[in-house]
Amino acid sequence: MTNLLDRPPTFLDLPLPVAAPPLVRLVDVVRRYKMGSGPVTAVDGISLDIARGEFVALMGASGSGKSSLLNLLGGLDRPTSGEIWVADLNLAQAGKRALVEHRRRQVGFIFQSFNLLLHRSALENVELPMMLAGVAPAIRRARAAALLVEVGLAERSDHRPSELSGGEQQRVAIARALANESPLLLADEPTGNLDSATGASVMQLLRDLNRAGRTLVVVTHDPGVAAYADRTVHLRDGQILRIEQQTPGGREDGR
Amino acid sequence: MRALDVLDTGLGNLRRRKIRTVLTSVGVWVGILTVVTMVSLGIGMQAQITDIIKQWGLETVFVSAKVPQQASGAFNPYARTRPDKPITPAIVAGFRALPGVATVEPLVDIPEGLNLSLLLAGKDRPFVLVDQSSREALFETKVDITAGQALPSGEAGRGIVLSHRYLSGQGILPTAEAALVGQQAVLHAITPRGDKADFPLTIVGVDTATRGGRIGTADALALKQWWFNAPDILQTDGYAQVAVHAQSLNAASQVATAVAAQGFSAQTLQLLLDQVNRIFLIVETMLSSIGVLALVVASIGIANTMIMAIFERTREIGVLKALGASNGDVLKMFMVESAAIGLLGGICGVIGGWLLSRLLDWVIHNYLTSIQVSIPAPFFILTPELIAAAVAFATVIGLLAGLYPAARAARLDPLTALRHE
Repeated sequence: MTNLLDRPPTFLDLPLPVAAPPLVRLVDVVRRYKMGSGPVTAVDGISLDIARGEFVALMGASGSGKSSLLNLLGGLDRPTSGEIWVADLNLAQAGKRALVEHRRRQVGFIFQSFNLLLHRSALENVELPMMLAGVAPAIRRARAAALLVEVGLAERSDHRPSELSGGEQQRVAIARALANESPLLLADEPTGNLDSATGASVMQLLRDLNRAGRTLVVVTHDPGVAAYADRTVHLRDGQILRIEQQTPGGREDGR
Repeated sequence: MRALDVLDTGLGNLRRRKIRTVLTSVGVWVGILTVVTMVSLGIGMQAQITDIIKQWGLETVFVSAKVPQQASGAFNPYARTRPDKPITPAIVAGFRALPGVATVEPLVDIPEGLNLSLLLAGKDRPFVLVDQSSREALFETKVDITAGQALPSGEAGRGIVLSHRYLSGQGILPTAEAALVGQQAVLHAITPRGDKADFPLTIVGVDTATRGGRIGTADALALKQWWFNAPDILQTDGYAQVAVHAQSLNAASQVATAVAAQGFSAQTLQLLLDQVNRIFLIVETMLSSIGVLALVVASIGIANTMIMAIFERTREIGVLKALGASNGDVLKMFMVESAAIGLLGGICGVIGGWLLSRLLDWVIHNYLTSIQVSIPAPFFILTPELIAAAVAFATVIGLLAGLYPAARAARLDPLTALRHE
């Protein structure tokens, strides 16, 4: 070891150009539902890798399978066939207990309609995932308060969702998604219920979180939202239509 | 999820719907109130009877002659049913000679249909003579002597003991009672035909019995001999009942066997106590089954409320599952809710049952006092075991009622639940 450090560096000492394993790997994922009118294929053979720290937008018309894909990633649903790897877990094969652990530790959900518990304060809503994970009250309270500071709602922590604006509610929901330090954030139309200015600030917040290292998958039909992403996956009829890599210049935040 | 958080979440959900929670628990508390009141009545009555039986001592054997079958049902105060084998003085002496026997107390019954009055303190007064051999006298609650002494026992026992209640009914003040002891009273007996006889008696004491007074066995025998005009009645009819006190419980059963072998019916108090306990178990079960019926209805109410609550909170359940709640977490949350409804009902029911039994106790005692019967012991006894069992039972009812709704909530598919409006 000392020898290696003593000699001048050569190209051999540079990191190998082998990519780190992706956080998410989808292999030929199919999801069929039995509907009244017969089977419906919501996801039809999708294969996709998402790297750690990446920001991916899933775009498509309604019924294109983008929300189904998000639910599969979140472990709320299981594929009919194919493999879904998140970190080291294949969700297609995982047991119930493992799926619960996956939802607790690996992913954070952000919904279009916020889905905050109405009878709990902002702080208690942020505490919820930690409570479910069995974190001690004092620790989770402190962490929830810190997260509310991070999303800019320090003074609103005792307010109920009904006393908060839509944008504020979505910020609480984002803080909640961060509570268990899940590496993967899944957002389903996060700006769908917000006006454009509020939506933009929420997207800024998500963008910042992504920069801080979180992997982000956002489902949207709004090109303005997709423009924040590193990569946009266009879906149609459950299949990938095309994948669009954003050029750094094309990004709205001008990174 | 931590147990405390499960508890807190479940109870928090109940607090959000206070009125519904209280209304749902009313069914439980009515049921528990009924069960608690009924069982405490059973316990109270049982305790009284057991107490009376124990006063006699469990080592007492009651011996009576066997009466021929065909005669036993007929009621005729003028003709007496002669037993096949009367308990004559010779037989009583035989009982005394049995091993393990401490004392033997023969009892003579008082003929029915007698019209009695008592010349007492210079005044002829109506009088009720308590038959010493009757069940009423045998099982009266504990009687205390307030002045003088108890009746002398045994065949030769003479004298009269008057009840304080009778004396005060006759306007004789408690302060004058002690002065009566040692005085003479005369019992006037009149048959329906108009025959009269006087029996002079010495007042031996005053006691706390419910009514009238009692006389010694020798005096009762004299009364009976006159009534039936049969001086040899002890030889022909024998004693009505003989209380044989054995030296120990073991001796009592041996004495009972020996007496039964001689052709008499012998009953030990232990046997009687067992019978009483069995009867009370049946009575308690019957009474509390009314409450159990109420609890069955209440549990349906709880199940209904829980199903409604779960329907209302379907979306919330979906969110909780998306955030990492396991099926078990959801199950436990709802089980805590329904158990808490049961527990609340149980606590209210026990308090309500206690209040109701206090009230009924008061009403019964007032009534008994008004008809000159005094039973000082409480009729309703609420034991700690009963309270604990009632509360636990109510909680279990809540748990059972919540089992199906909670299992349904736990099995909800998170995606379906999240789409629920």
